[in-house]
Amino acid sequence: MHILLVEDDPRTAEYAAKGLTEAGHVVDVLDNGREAMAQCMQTEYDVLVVDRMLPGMDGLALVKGLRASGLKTPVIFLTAVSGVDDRVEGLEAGADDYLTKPFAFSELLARVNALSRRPAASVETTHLNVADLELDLLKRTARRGDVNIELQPREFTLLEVLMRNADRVVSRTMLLEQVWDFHFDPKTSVVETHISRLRTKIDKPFDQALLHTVRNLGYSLHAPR
Amino acid sequence: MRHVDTNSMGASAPRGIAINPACAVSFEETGAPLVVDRGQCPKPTNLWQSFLRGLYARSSLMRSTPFRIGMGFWLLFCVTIGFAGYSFYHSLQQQSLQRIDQGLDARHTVIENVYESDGINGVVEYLKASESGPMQEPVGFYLVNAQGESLFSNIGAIPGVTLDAETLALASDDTQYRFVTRTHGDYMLSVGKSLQPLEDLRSIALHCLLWALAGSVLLAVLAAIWLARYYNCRMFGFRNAMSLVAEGNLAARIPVTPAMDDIDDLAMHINAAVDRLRDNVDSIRQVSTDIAHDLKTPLNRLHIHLDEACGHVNTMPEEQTAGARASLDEAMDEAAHINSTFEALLRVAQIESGARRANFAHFNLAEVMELAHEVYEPVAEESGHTLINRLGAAESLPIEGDRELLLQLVINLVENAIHHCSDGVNIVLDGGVSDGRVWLSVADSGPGIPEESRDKVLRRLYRMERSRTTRGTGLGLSMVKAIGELHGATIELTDNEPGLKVTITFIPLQLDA
Repeated sequence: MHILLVEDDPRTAEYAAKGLTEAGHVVDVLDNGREAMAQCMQTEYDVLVVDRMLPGMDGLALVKGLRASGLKTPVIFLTAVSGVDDRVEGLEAGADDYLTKPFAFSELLARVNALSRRPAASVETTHLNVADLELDLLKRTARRGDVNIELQPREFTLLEVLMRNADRVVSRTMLLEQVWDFHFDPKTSVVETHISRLRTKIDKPFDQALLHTVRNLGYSLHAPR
Repeated sequence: MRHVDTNSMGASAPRGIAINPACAVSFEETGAPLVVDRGQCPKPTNLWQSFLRGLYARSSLMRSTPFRIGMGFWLLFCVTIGFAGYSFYHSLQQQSLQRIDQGLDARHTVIENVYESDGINGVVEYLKASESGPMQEPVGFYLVNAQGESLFSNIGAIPGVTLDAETLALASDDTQYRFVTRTHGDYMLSVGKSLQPLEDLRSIALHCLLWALAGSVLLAVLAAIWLARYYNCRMFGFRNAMSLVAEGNLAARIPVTPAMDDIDDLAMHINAAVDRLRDNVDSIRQVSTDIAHDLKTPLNRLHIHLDEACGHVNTMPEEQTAGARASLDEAMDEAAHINSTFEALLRVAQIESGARRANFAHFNLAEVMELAHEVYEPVAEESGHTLINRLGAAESLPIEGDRELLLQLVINLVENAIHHCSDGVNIVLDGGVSDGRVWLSVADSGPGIPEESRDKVLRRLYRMERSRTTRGTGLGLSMVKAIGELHGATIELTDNEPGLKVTITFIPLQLDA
């Protein structure tokens, strides 16, 4: 994937660019908003990673400008503060996701991957499959093999998010945001607890585990390898 | 140059206040809750205050100070006019009486002359003539001889012998006459003069007064209403601007007219105060952003270095790096902890600045409680506690506020309870509406908070001695306080016997258009 990273702190830019390149992406790095604006007009990128605070033209103005000129490339904001308003402002300006500094690289990678593979809005998926686990999005039912699995509404959403991102790592914060709409960091093991409940339903009764914990990164749902 | 209010940034927050164990003993007796209240209207304490409050609540006109002042001046005017009118009327009355008395004197003199020239028969003739004479004003007579026998009279009732300025009615008409008795030789004659002029004077005076009153009351009420309207318009400017400011819109200003009267002067002073407030809030925001940038960049780099160090360590054989790995993990944890404390501080500051009020919306608080219960019930169970939601799913707790922040408030309280209770306890979520005010409560049956520490735990970074060893930012409850205050809510910390009960009572919902 072709990614444009706009970040003024050279250390952070180097770290993120290195990681993204190692993950197999092509990364261009710019350190100011004006150049980024011009660059976006010339080259077609798959994902933009933009720092909120930039010299010249700040990230917010950059994204607003890009959206005004009709560019629909997914944008991830990097913000210094998970400020309540910063997030809303960023999303209103047209960003698709945001990430608070300091961020773990894995978190950035997970979000970049999630964004780039986000299906177009017109294509409606009605079934999700991972190995023998099947999710019917219309009937809101789950089954593994021949066994029906009873899920609470929120457990269903949790499983849906994991299955939509099958084979990829979904971080704790992504789950908090997408499943429970929590935009702050809880001090208790909310995600762990709910994941473990989900596990007892979809994994424990069966031979092979599908839901895996990726240490320090998050969770991943994938077929046995 | 920007003025920086360091107090608002938490510099005044006490760091590390230890609770004196000697004080902690006195906890058990009083159950008086700590109330964090906002400057709301106090309750009336005496009869007069309740009367005024009741009166103002019923009549919007009476609530208006200009109207009350107008009516007050009208009352003062009435009293003055009343006094002046009365004394004027009184002296006129005296004057008329004097004239009547003079007239009576003159008549007695004439009769004396008649008596001296024509004797008593002459007097009777004279009296008869003056009674029936067409050009004469009506006169009352009462003539008695030395034995007290009535010789000639046109009075209805027969009075005593002598009359001195007494009022009687004639036989022929009802009007009152003023009589004066004099002796003429052996005879005593009382002559009366009509009091009709006095009566006329009284009715004229009364009419005048009534008309003046009626006219003035009309004028005064109209003028007072006009005044009330005029000042209400100006007060509306004040109220409008101030409620916008209270909502966090610090750009609102009170309109000032070019006349520069006292109200304009006051408005300009308030505007200047709001200017100053806005500058302070702006500089706090600026400082927050600056700190965020200047501190976050090194924090971010620290994180990057640690992450890269982890990466290097991971490439080495595991048996050589077990110690380094553990240290790096701890360092990562520590960095994350610094970051979360820092984030929480900035968040509290941001909430306290009131900027979030722009995002207020109407929603059902019961849904937020239900979500918190649903998410945290398993978490509480994992820690050996039981989380109970007393609110039914159909319960309606309509509220205007920031949903995300109120969810955080409830969750902070629940997490606080989970963290600070070691044994398995019941954590109870409850809520309801009383006196039109929506309230919610989170109660646990854990160790509770000693009475004297209850106000301290709401401060930033305050941690009680016993919770110093546990992980936490010391900002959970101060965030609860900040969010509560943003919503104008009252926060009460009470003894749950045993345990802590935190009750948040919101301001009544204003159903405006």
